[in-house]
Amino acid sequence: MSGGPETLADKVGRLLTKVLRPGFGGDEPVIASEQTNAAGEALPSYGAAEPSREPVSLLEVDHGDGRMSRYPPPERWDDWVEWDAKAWPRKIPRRYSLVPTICFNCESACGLLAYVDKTTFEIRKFEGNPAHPGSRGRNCAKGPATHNQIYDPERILYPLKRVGARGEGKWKRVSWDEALDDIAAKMRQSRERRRDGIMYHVGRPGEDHYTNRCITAWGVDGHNSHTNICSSGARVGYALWTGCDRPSPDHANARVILLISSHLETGHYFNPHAQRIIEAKSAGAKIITLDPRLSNTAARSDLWLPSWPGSESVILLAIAAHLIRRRSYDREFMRRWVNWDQLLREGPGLPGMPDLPASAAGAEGELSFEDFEAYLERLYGEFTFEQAAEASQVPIERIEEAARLVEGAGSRLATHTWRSASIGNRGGWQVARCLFFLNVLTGSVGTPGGTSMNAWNKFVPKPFASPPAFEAWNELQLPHEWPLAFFEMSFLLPHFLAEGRGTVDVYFTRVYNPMWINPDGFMWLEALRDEDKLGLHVALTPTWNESAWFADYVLPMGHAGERHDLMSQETHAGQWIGFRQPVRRVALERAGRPVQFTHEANPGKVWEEAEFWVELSWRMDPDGSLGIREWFASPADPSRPITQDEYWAHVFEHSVPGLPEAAAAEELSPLAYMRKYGCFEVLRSNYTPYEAEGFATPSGKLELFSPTMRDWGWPEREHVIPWPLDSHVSPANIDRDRGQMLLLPNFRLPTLIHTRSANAKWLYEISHANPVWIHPSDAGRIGVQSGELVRVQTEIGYFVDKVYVTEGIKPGIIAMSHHLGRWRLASDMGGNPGMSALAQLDEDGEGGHALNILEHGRAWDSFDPDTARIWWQDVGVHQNLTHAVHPDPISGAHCWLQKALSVRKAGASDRHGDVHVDTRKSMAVYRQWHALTRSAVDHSPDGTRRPWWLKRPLKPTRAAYALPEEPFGR
Amino acid sequence: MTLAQDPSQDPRVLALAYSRLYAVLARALLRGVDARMLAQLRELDWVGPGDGLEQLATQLHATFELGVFPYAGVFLDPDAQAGACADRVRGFYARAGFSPRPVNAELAPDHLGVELAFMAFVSRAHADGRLGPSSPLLAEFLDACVLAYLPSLVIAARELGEGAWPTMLNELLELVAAQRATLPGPRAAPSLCPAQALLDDARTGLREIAAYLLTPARSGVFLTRADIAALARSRGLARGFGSRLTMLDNLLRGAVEYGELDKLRAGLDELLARRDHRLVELDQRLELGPAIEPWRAAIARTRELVRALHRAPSRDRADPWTSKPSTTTPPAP
Repeated sequence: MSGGPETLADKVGRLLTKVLRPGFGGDEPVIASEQTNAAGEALPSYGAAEPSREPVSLLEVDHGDGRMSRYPPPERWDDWVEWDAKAWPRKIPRRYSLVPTICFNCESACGLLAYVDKTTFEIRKFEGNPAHPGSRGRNCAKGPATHNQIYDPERILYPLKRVGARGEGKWKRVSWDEALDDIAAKMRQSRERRRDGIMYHVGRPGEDHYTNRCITAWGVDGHNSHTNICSSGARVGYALWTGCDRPSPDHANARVILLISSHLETGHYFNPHAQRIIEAKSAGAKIITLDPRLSNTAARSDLWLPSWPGSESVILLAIAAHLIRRRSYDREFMRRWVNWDQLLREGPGLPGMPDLPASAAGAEGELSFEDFEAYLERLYGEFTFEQAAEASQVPIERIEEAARLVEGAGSRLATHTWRSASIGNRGGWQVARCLFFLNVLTGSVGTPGGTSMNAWNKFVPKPFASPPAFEAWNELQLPHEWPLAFFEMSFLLPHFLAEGRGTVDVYFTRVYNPMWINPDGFMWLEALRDEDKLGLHVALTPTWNESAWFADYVLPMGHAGERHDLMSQETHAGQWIGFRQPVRRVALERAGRPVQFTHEANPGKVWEEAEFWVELSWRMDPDGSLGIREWFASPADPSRPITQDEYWAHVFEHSVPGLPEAAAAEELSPLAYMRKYGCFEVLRSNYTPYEAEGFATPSGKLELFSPTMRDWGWPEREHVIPWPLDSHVSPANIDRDRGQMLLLPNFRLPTLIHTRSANAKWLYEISHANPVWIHPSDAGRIGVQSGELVRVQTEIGYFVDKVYVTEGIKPGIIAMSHHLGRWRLASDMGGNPGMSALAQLDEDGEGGHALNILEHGRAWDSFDPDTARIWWQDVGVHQNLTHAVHPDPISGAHCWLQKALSVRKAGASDRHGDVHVDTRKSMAVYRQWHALTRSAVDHSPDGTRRPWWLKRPLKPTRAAYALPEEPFGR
Repeated sequence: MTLAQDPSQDPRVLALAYSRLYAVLARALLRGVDARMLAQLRELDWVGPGDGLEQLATQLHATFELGVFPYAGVFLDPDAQAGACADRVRGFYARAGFSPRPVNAELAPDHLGVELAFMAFVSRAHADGRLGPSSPLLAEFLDACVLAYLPSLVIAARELGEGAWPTMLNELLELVAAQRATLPGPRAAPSLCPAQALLDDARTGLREIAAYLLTPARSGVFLTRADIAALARSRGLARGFGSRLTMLDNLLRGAVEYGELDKLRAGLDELLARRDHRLVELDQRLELGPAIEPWRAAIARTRELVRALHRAPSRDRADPWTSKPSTTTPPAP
């Protein structure tokens, strides 16, 4: 080169020389000619349409809060053309088949509308279904993110079978036939030997009866759920009052909305409830929230009561006492519907219960309602605002204001507790009971703007041909020590196995990641690895997870738009059903391309449980000798299995009132109607149904006094009536002077979906880290600032995480979102590198376990360019591993709140994400809590294991309720 | 001596080199930059050491999805529609047997990335002898579908600010100019819209003026949101938000309503003059002659239009809802 400025020719020549150098690698084709459209292997592609149509008037939905949305009208759903937003600034028309389905990313069952490209049958997007009575066309972020899950580069596309040791991470692809035959054979072997060897452990149920029918048909006591780490506490509280175990607040019509914790924003019922709460607020309703954390909900409430966890009942009873003292409760409602006479007759004399007032019992010996009123005042007279303020550490003015608002609500008081305090505290079930006491006092039970029960607002059609109840009782699920539990003691399965209570022959985990989501995960690790105790582990899952890594089969199951399920949910004071559909299959069938099995239409060989269960059950009993096959036979041709069309056609024709008529009005079959709209409104509103039916309690009344509690070994005042119970994390049990704190781990950032958010890139971009919230006063004491590491010592181990210093959490408490901290054991399998950390497990052989992070989140290359754009590294810390189990002796709930024995600045050897646990301590804590139980063996009033009237997800025969002849531990 | 200067260099090897360079740019535009490509771009000195994957992805979005739109149709079509030149480019694609795969169907065939893929494809065909050196295909394509608008695109992108993508566009223009110089056949000039007596039409309002200014094939320039915002900011006027048409319409209305049309007109004229000057610079450096002249002529007409706006009665308020011609129709002489 000369020394002068570079000429254009020089410059171009230099470039051309560089690009011709060997190794430049310029021969990769830019544009190929073949079409690729398999999810998991390529980004979807879409065809172009002719823009010949005239514009279509959109369907307008006028929301109650004054906003309006517009949607494609249903009559055009079969053939919808719209501009491609991503092709902008070009105007590219795309032609879609719009197929309704139901979201699967929480249990609200909101309606989704899939836009399926009519050329490639790829799913373009998910939007809201305006016909859906619960969600009314709206969705939270999790619904549209279903698209991420379906086109996740790391999704499991084919059935996998373990080929190495459990957890070694070696897999081979197998056919569905091979998997079905092998699993069915093992199930048959188990079923021939016993009725408690098959266990179906469900995480996200997402449907209302189908699988339960299958398990019942197998004749085994095999249903295990996640309920005890979720909602058991609240369920017991509500069930004791009403016989129904879930509340259904009519937020939209409420005058006052009282929330325990932050349901509105933590993902539970988020969308259907949030939109109705906003409606009510727009109309002038007041919102009261009890939460030690300044959640989004609390921040938007009229009144935030940052109560110390476990003190909620004291506040609620102070409000109740205020109403009682002022006689400002609904006397007529109480007189008619509360079992006050039973309380007066049977309550006095029980431990802690006061005697009747001397004035009680008139001349004829009859106890009057007025006697009850006097007794009520005596019972609750000790609860005052001052006492509540002291117990809760909340300014008394706010409690007084809450009482004033509740008093003014009349019959329009909508209340809700589900997780939060009810699942956080020992005795949390009493929080729900005390909360609903306010509904009872105000007469706002089942009223417009009041609080109903789920059974009134949820419609579950009868299944096709119900098999008889099984005669079996699985001691690993409902052992005799917890006769009142709601329901199975699922999180204790590894502890029970370790104790030698039994074994499992075939263990299904279904959209469930027990090692990660439960407390005490290393106990799960030990159980999942033990092939003598867990015989065959089949993971039915749409995504990789920590537990599936230790399975024998990993069977890919569909996301929301890839499966059949029927769901209803108590979103408001009406009733509806929603039909989840495999949307590509439906679109193909609309186009005249028949599909036999859903896995033919889904990506790869991804299937759905509904068809899988039929095929599996058929092969489990090929000759019908076990009496199973008959329940899975086609009604048209019993020599072959029933199809999904046959099953749902029967259900929709025979057990959904009004649906056949609505379908006929459109000249459709009921099935075709449901395939078209994806939902059906059974009842527009359903208020005070108890006027006709009474309540589902033994007395038929609202049971302020619970004879069941008395009869089953809990006769004390604090158990038989709404009353505060001492939490394991009450101020007296947390020695703050010694540096102890309360760890609040049971809140969730609103975009998280348990395990499955880690397969939704949009959601993880929003929230991927779970730092420890800590108050500035505590941070100052410890000497940490936001972003620095702390080591949190629990009862069984410790973890290391960053802190987030904020006044949004109460002093003395640290808080940490769950549903984050995913990890994997192989760099290229088992999870997304951008959403999970590469980890290493170590153990000392004596119970000591460690999880160390080798690599935090990172970008990676895939067909999706977004994976190369991961900008975050912190994917959270798996705190649950360090949580000791806390089984409530009555509800069986795992009481999530943890005692942090110490919280200190991390040392030089601590690394972000480190976890260490000693499972010997795990068993010790388990035994401490186990000692609190009162076994049915000692307390059953009638020789049964459990009150017959209490719910079980699958109820066996009455004979199966007999106490065990050889109860474990006796 | 470099490869391009070496007269003994095999033209097929040169064609292979062009093919590779076009392919790199096509991949970058169509797929974004990954780690492998980043190394290539650095080797070519097209990105600096500070340009990481994230910055490039962000800039790609800002440059081509928010800033300028790299479609032939946007610059050459009378309605400025992306994809409007699809038929024209498809004709060339069909002649060469080139078919974009469906995954890129959402990009119109006249997207610069697809055009580059085609240029890589044809250059490769020259390199491996499938197309002889006398084939006019590539030269005709470059004149009709690339050089016809690329200078204007390069200038608009450059005014968005410094960055890797404007730099790469400039490099591309240099490459295309250099290759075109080696290809046979006379150079063809692009056909832009004929002159339009917009202000003679009584139906013309501010919105029509704005639409004219936003149509490169008429005005000779591509106005980005940043250009409109800068015009507004420098004159202390509001432009609102929304489509570019809405923004520019708002800006014109505001200028008329608040008696600031003279200032705005001056700003527009400055911009047009600057763009014209840059075209001249390009022509001098790259000898683009026929490709440049129609654009300069269009700019000249637009400057006339802006000057004619100056004669409008600026105190005469426009109807803010219709923006009709009371402010834009020149008074009778």
